[in-house]
Amino acid sequence: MAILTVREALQQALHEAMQDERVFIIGEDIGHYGSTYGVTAGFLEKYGPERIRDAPIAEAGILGLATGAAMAGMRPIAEIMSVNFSLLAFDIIINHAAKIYSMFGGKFSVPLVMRTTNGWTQLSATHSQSFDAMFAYIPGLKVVAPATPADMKGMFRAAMADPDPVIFIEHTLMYGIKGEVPDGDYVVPIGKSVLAREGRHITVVTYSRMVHLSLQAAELLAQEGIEVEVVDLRTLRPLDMSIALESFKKTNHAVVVTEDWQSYGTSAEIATRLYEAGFDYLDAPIQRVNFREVPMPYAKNLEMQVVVTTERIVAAIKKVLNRS
Amino acid sequence: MADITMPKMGFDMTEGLIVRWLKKVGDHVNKGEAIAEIETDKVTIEIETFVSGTISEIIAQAGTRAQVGGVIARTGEAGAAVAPKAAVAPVAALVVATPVAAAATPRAAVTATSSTGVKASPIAKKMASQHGLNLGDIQGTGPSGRIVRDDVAAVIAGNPTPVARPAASAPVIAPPPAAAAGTTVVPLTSMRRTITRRLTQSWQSAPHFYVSMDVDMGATLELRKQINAPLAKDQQVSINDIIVKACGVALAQFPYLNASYVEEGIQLNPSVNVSIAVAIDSGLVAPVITNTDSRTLGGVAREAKRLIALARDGKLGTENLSGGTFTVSNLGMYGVTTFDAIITPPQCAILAVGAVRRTPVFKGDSNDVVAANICSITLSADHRITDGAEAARFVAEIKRLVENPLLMLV
Repeated sequence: MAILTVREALQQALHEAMQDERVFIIGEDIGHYGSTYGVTAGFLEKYGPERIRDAPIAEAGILGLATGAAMAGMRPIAEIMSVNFSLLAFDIIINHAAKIYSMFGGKFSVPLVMRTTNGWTQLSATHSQSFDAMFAYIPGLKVVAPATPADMKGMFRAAMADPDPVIFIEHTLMYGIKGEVPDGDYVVPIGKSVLAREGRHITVVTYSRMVHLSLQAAELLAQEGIEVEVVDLRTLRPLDMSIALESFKKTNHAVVVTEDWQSYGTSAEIATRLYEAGFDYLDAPIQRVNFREVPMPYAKNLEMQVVVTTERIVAAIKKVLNRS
Repeated sequence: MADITMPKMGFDMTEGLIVRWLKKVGDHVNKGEAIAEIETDKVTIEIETFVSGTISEIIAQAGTRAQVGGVIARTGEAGAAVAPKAAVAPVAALVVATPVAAAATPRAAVTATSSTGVKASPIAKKMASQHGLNLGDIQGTGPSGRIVRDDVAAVIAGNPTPVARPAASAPVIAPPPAAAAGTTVVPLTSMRRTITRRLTQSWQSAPHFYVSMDVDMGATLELRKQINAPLAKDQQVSINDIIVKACGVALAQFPYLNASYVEEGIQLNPSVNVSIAVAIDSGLVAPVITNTDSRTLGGVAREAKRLIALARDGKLGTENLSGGTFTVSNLGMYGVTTFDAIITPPQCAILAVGAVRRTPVFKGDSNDVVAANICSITLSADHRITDGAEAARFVAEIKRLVENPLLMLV
């Protein structure tokens, strides 16, 4: 068991993946520059330009090439520097990569992994978005968004082994987060949620970076005697609600925390699943904590008004529990 | 922006009168802060807001009534113009200064909505159903008075005692006859209106029957003398306290006298809470001595004194007035020898206690006449729940306890 950052865990997972000759990495600035967030630093030197492909600013090309290579038996890892740039590749992702297996009667599959990042910090409106819901909306894709170094590594293994296109969502503000990473070749399966913290008063259902903020909120509330259970979904498609529902049946109260806009966002689906399957256990309307619904402002003070904070999670929990 | 609604301060509260606002438009309020004083059927009380914010609009002005759950004010940005919502529950525009018109129509409006929809969370509904509880009997503590899980759990745990909701078919009050010139019509106070509503309901729905007995108070008077001799006045035990305690002990043995008639059947109430009728200047209140059976005699006496003092000062809260399962009404101090009382719904019975009077009686089986202190007690009971023989055994048990009061001390 080692203490690693998210970045280090991913680096280990990528080095491990590169042991398979079929694997190559393609993306903008991943080679000579070592990637924007430093994950592939040193990879070009180690594996050479054949397998570490610096791409032009052409996201549709990156994904198109990766899709074709995957169909032809390779195991491509396509890095899209920021999820905001993936919009340019949506046709390839949605109408090609996600459809090929079913449209060709199972003759081809597309085992590609698209690594990308959510995130913000004065990146302004066009570079601070989350499209989690847009990916998770598409049958044919698998969408994962792990929160911890251990899950990053374990789920990357699962993603590389998966026969379908996997959207692997990271977060610019998580690369430095540390955590214990088990030794050995453990795998964290796609489509399995996990209990991040036990509690008996309220269930917070969340994923990715919001797991960490929710745990902070739980810590604060513990001092007031409120015991918060935190469920980390880890995968958005296929969505595993079993642990969240089990928790909700115990606590009868829930808050859904996601780092995207509320309307039509991932929290809408998560809350709906709780309502549908947990209606008889509901004691108060479910609250959601998300980005406020504006294009992200650049000014720091305004940006902080938009993003999810621990304080907002605490307030939502108290509202559901009718505590002042 | 958020709505501030008229809270449900008691099981059977359907509307409240805004006595005065403690906050005005533009004031900032915090959740839990008192914002207005309201008068319910039972009590005048300060209400707290469930939301924080700046009051942007006061909808129910002082002097008007609002239905439970009706919007009485809104919070929002200070001074922000807020368009009225068509869907908001109408506020009964009843101004106290115009009582004749008020007495007829608004009540009908209120009773028409009072039976529709108890607000409860799904889990609360499920738990109530699993335990055979009537949601109308449970006080909600969630936002806007919603019954939430913990409210039902508290009832299941035996605390608080459920109290039946008002009957679905509350009487419709006909308009008063046209007043002749010079006639004065005194507007009904909230309390008068409550007495009217509840006792009319009781009289019309509960078939009353009566059982009377004479009780020899000799031993009780002697015991009281002994107890009180060393005690300061404010610690002393009254005759009524001893009778209340005897009722509590007897009720624990007669569950059907400690019951409520509900739609589904006879609800046996899990704890014994005796209400004591207290006359006050503005009418009558009946605060509740909870767990009367398990309190000591001194405990009953102290609680009764405390509640009577609160009643006289008009400071009884809904918690003091809710949950009674039986009532003792004593008119002895007015020289009344016997009287028949009307049952307080949803209780099964009420005991009317007369004056202790010196009376010649035969001593034992002899022909010797001696002086005795006799008190007549009359039980009014609901024939839907109990019958004459059971009521007689119950009254006989009260008589036995009061005539042998040491039984209540051991």
